[in-house]
Amino acid sequence: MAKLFSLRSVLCGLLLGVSITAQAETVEKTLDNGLKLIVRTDERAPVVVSQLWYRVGSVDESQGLTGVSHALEHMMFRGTQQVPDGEFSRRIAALGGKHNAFTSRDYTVYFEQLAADRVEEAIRLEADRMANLRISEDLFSKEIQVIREERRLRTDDQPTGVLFEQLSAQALVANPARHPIIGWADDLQTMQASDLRRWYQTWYAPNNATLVIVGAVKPEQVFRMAEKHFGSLPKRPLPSFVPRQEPEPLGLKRFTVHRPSELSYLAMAWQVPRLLPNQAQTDAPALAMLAAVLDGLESSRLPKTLVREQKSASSVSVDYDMLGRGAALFTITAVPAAGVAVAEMETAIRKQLAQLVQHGVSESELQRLRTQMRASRVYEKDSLFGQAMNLGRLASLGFDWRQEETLLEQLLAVTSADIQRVAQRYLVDQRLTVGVLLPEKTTTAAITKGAKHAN
Amino acid sequence: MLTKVMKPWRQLQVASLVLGMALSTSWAQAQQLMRWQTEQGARVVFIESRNQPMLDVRVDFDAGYWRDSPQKAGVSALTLSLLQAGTTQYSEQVLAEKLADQGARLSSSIETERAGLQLRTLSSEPQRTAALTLFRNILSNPSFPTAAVEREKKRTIEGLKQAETDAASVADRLLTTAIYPTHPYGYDALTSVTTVAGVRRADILAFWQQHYQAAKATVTLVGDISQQEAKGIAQQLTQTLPRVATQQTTPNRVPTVATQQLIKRPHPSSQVHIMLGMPLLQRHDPDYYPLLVGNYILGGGGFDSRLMRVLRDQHGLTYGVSSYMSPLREAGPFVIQLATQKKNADQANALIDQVLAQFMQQGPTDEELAQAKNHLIGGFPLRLDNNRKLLDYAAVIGFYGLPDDFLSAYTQRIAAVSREQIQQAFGRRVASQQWQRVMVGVEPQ
Repeated sequence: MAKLFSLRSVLCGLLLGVSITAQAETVEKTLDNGLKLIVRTDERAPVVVSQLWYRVGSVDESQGLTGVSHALEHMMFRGTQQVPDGEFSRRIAALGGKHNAFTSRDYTVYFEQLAADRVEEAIRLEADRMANLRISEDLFSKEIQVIREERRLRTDDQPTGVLFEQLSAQALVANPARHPIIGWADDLQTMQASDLRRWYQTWYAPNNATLVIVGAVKPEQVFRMAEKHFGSLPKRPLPSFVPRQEPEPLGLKRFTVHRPSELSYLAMAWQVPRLLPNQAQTDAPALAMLAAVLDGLESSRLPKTLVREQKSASSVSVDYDMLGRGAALFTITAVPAAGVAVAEMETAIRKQLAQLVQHGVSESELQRLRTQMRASRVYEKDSLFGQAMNLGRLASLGFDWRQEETLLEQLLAVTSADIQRVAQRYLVDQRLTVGVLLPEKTTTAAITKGAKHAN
Repeated sequence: MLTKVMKPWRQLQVASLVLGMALSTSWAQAQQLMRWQTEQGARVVFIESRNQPMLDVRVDFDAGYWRDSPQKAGVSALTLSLLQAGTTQYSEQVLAEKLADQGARLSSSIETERAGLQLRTLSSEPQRTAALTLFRNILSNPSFPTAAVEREKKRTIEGLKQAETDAASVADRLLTTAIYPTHPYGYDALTSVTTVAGVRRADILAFWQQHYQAAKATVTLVGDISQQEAKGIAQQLTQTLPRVATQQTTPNRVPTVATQQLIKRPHPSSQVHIMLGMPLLQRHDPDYYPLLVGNYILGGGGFDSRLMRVLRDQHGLTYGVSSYMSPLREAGPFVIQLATQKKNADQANALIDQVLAQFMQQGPTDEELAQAKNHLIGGFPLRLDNNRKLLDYAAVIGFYGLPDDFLSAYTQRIAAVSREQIQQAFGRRVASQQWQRVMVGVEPQ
């Protein structure tokens, strides 16, 4: 039941890591080749986090090539001319460091965490693999198997993995956000090493990247290191690619999936707008606050009414990310309690939404959320990694990292009337897709008479 | 977001986080850890950290899964979750609202031996005092409303049923029972629809009275307060905890597992989940450091480990393979785990056996040992670089009564480990037992 982090997800990380005097200690610079650098000094511990953000993700992918950004992320660990396969991991580990990477719809991020006096090695290694990656047929043939196993583990064998993959694909028809980040299974069968090489050539350029460093370092020192290792890499023309816009939704859609599962799941997803850079008028902050009113805290409306009072839901969650390049969904997911039909669950959720539209939100509810957001500003500064995520995310999506403040103020300024208005305007059937996952009764319960032998 | 394997790291961190903070830098020395006991006998650990205007407080009890009885397995987890379901003063909803109104956050966690609550609050007044007052109220005056008890039982049962449809969960439960067929460390895996359905409010009340006492509590504080303030807070949080005469008991020794078992279960999943395990590591263990360093090299070191290099990088068999050792008061589990598509399960098993056999026979190479030491020593500051990590680490020191020199000795103890010690420790400890192996997701026969 712990809801500790849901406020944070609802507010899309915007409030993470805003230091009280952050602006004084954060410095930005762009190298001649277009590489953007953001450095925040935080000297609480003799450590540093380095994140290299490439502005390429699954929304940049097209038919037949889904999952190529993520596959390339895997191959980035498999060697350059100077640093052969396995060496990247070995070297960072030898310095006491940790490293990893992740791919989202909007960006691909590589990170290292290590002692502050070792940061130059991370910068050097990242610069090397920005320009000198080698994608061999042999290693690709191994790594693509790893990725297929990852898909089996995280999507195919998870009831909710399948449901959410279907939900995006059903709710959206044209925008590439309908494709899974890891890629459709069939694309993972046909993908070639040459596809990854092309992708690397197209997108991995200094002018498509942001290096974010937070920790016990001085900006000038980092700028010098970045200049030394990245400075000679050439700027390259980038595709003027804009993901295809999603057309206006035309009416209610429903779908069902059957999977091995004991529980049923209900997912309701409405197409809604996002916050775009340099946008004067936007409904996105009000939508973010609507999500928080419904499920931002343990005391919020949906856990209160559906889980605790009516006991119709075993759990419920709301998801909306106001930042991103692809089409956005405002999603409510619920697990009906035993004996409650999925249709009843849907009715109960609709009733809560109708009530909100009709009566608005009390000042005490809003004030509580604002208090939590302000407290988040303090708490999130505890994590260097979280601070770097925040800076990198805004920069990669075309915002200025200084907008953290103004975006927070926009959220704090949202009124009950704003929330009523966006709920009324966007949470309508015309924009809605309802997905239901129903148990397929072939679970272990049915075939549990397995063999057990002494060996 | 798709992340490459993070799990091996996490496990490693749990194992080595507690080892100490022995950097010779002024930074490490500044992280002064202070310890004392309250009047009622609660152990207290405090680290003053003035960087942020915030305070983290954990209160842990010797009330983890091992305190359940096999017939009523599940009471320990229900008791912990129901602490927040209302007090004699406030309803569940009012509690949640009042905490949120202060900007505070409360969460809970339970593992084999420990169960507890964690509060994060602003250190400014009036927020801090208000949040701590609510925290004390939750710890000392829970009302365990019957309706909430029934609701949480139902949710637990649904969760258990759902876990049966997840091959990884099924494998984990089977392995736990195979490693600990009779020992209380296996009780978590005995939690079932039947045991939970049989739990009554009285069972929860009795469990709370018996195990949530000051003498069984560890209070850990990290944040923007003085030691004097910390003393007052620890005293207040523990002085009104239940007082019922009970005996202090500790877990019995874990019996050696003498018979090898292979347990196979069919499952509709596309992958087979393979787990191997045995009881092994104690918190106070003469072989602690050789086993820890050895495990890094074998399978604890993520991409830097032998298992990962062979099964993932060389053979493309799995997204992640890892080994971990969870130290407990008595022998905690040593586990190797991976998932692979059904047709590759036999090959994966053969490769695990091969990597293990080679490691047992020859131990690590000099190069591997140097690499592991560099990583564990060089990465030490990362284990303690924020208040949350300091809190969790200090809580383990307090709960397990780890000695003070643990703090200053970490790097030296890692540095002192030799190849021979690793080989001998694995030879003595691992080779003297039999692996329990579980495969869930095999084709039905």
